[in-house]
Amino acid sequence: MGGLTGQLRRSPPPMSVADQLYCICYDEHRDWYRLGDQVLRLGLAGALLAELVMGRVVTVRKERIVVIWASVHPPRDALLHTLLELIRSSRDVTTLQDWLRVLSDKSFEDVVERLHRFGHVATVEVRRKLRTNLVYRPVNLEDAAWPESRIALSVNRGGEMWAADWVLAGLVVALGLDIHVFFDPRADVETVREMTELLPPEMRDLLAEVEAAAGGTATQPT
Amino acid sequence: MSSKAAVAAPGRLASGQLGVPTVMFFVLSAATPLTVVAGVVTNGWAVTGLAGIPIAFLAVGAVLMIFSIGYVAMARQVANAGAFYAYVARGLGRPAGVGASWVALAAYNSLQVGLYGAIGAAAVPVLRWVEIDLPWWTVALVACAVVGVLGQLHVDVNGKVLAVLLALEVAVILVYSVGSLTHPAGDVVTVETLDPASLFAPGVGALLSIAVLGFVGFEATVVFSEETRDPHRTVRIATYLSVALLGGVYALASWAMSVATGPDHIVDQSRALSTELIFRLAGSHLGMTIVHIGQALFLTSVIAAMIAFHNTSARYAYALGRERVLPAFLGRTSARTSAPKYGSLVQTVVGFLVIITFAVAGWDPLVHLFYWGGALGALGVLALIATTSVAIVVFFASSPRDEPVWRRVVAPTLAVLATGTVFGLALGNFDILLGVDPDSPWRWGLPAALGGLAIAGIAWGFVLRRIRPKVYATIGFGARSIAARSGVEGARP
Repeated sequence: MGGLTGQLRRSPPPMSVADQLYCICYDEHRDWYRLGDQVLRLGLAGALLAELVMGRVVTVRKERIVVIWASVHPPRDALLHTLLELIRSSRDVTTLQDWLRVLSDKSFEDVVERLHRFGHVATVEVRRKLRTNLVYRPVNLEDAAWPESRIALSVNRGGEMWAADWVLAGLVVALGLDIHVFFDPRADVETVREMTELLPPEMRDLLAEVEAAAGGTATQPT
Repeated sequence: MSSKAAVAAPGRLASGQLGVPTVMFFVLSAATPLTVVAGVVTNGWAVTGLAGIPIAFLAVGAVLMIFSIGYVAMARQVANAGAFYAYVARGLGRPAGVGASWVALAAYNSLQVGLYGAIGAAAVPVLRWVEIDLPWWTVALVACAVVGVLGQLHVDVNGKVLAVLLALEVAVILVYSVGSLTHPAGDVVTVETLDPASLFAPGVGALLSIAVLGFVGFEATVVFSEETRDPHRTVRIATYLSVALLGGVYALASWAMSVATGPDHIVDQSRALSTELIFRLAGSHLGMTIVHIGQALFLTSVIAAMIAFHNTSARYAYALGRERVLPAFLGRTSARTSAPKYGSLVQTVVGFLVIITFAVAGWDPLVHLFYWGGALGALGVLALIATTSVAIVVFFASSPRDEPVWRRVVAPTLAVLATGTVFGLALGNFDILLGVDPDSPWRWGLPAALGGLAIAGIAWGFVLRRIRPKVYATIGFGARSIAARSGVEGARP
């Protein structure tokens, strides 16, 4: 990812951002999601776009998603590859806001499928009072808990973190997950806001747009 | 992502599928005509003692039509369209926008809490069928709790349910009106209450304020500015038709009532029967079945209005919290339901406290809570409409855009004169509207409270400019303020 400052070091994350966000959103005690469907999908769509931005195949300019045609590194991940093709071929959708909406339609299924492919989640039937739900539960709960513990600890200590982890922390704040994740939500959110200011402008715009869109769901009639 | 979904979704966004009926339906479904006709109109007659409410509906409808011309034209340039204060922020500056937003919050709050005063009266006849007799405040507290829980769960009344209720309410109003018009008092169908002379008689400001209450919510058409196939035409036509339809139904219904009692007796009858009037009239010539249907619909109408205004108020508080104009905690949502949870909670607590106060003090729920709450709300909304009119003129004067002169100069200027006059009259006749002596402390106390809020808001706007310029820069953006704060270019309120 470009424009890194001294405090943000470069390294591939252990799981991709969207996969980790999925794990953070999954509440293993209730076997259900911490976010409502609409916001969850929006968050995952934002995370997928963040992966594309970090892979330097697309960027954000003046609220629009712009494909970097000169990019020499096509995404290795099949899902990102498909999404990039989609963005390249759909000239009539340009704004970040619209792309978040479009990708939200299937972001949950897309991310779950990828997690499945790498064996990170398993389909489980969970009995509720009146019905049975299918959920995609992380296979290794320790692995699944790691992203959350890692960013919660690092943010709380105000310590160093990979740029990708600041993006993840930024998504946590944007989606209102901070009360679930951070030890001291008020102070930690401030830390995240300060640190994400150091991210490149395209990533800041993306995070702000995700937060705006997540906030917008509260004012929509259901 | 499968190609099917991928192709379908961008197409949907690019062209926009919404036509005139969809937009109208959205706006009208939030209008609850029986609440207005059975509740507001009869109380208006009883308190003001003036008969000319029917013509006032037509007059206000005409004024709002003129207002809508510039309003719709400016909507595309406003990030948070549908909220008057966003227009004020854009046209008259951000401090004025903050002032307008505080007045808006108070006005919608007043309208919502006022409805708790009507729910008792609406529920009594229905509860009587099952032989339950409860004091009004028990019903109001239950309603407050239910509305509060629904607000926390982010539950709106389903659009289809609202559509069915709306259709039934309009049908019942039409049937009642035909019943009244075919059984006129003294066998003469008089158009006395539709005589424009009432508009030049003393007390006209009170009549116009009552009429404004029927139209609150019409401003929401413009939220579809970006999603319709032909934004200009669709939204404009939908707005005009919505205003015309509302004005027509209210004028017809109130005129028919005055014909059935005779214009000379409408005030006495309203004082004697209050919200029961329209049902008694219907009962005397249409039979009890249709009366019971009407009474049940009056109850559902008040409930629907209560939920709608609760959500409006909660979203206002939420949007302002999101902008950091009000404390930031109001801008938090529930992670699971996306409900504006603190905005909604504050609204519930305010309602609860008001109900308790009225119950303990023994004040009249219909006149002092429902009707006065409505009157204060109407005055606030009128002030907002008048200020927005000025904002529209100023906006187009500084940036003409590609609008014809009629839409950006002539109509908005006419709208300033018309809405300014209506507001001035309303303020001048506020004692008549409330039904109090001209030297009553309420007569100036309530308008002064609104004025004080406006001034405090403006002052807070200037304070924000000094101490928190980033917050100041995004006033008027509502839920999108965060994207604007991030410095996304091209974003303006």
